[in-house]
Amino acid sequence: MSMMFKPHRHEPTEPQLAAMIDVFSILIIFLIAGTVMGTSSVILPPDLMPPTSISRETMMSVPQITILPDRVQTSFNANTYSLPGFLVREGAPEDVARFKNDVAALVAASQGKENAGILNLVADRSTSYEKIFSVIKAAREAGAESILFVALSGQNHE
Amino acid sequence: MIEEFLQKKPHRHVKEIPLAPVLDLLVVVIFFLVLSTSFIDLTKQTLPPSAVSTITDPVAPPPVSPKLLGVRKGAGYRLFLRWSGESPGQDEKIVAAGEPAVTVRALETAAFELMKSFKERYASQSSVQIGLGPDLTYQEMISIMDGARAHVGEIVMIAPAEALALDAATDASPAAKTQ
Repeated sequence: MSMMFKPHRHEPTEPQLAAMIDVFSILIIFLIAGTVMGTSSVILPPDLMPPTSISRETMMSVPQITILPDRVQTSFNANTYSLPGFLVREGAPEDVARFKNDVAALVAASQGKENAGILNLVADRSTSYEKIFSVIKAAREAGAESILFVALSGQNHE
Repeated sequence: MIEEFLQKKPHRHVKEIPLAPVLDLLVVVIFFLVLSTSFIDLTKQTLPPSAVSTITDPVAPPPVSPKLLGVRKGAGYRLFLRWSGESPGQDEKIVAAGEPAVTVRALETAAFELMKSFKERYASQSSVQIGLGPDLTYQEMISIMDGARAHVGEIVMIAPAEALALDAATDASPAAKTQ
């Protein structure tokens, strides 16, 4: 009699591979379609300390203007421009004219593209407002529509 | 006979559709569609014929054009906000210089409070012009902008010379008068 009742065997739970493969394949397609590839790094020269800001806006991948103690560098070409040339009361204007031409050419080449006419500005926190304004003014006169100030994330002040 | 009953008859295997992966697929697709759907509301604007013109307010009020300016004053800073419009006015704060981290925070707070009281009067203003003295630093500029951006979304930078000129024209402190 006891032989008629077979003990109930618990079959081990097997993962349903077909369902898992379907879900993961859809997720992979989703991630591939949604991924945005681009250079998002900002080039910070050594010994340059950007200012801190409480802003929470994310950085944009756009061409960069770097203000160094004695010159201005751009990331969209290998040119450097003498910084005193940007100040109104001293320096030769040739470098400013060259800078404006280069920025104007960049803006013209990027017309119709995403983030056209937008530039990142990188400078040390001790740079004077006069130098900052002079470079911004030259870039705006050359056609740059918006200048983004790159800063380190600081504490939120209430 | 008994053996025929005991013998299991071979069942014809009917292929069944596996529902679990189909349901998973549909759930993911539905999530995708829900997240990517954007509803577009079509609108139109009708321009009146050029022969018909209605002038309701021939004299528009002058623009407010707020300007937030900051200059060094002795050991500290003078931060002042000027505005035009029908009721022009000015508000200012003096910030004492100290430790750099404390000073920039004080500048940010002063800019925040100036813009806050301005926005209480002119809630519709969404932009401000900021001008600083030529010797203020980039960090000080960013801190003042941080304070102002809490209330306005658009900032336009103006020349240091204008900030100095407005400071000279508006500073009513005794030290300025003796200069």
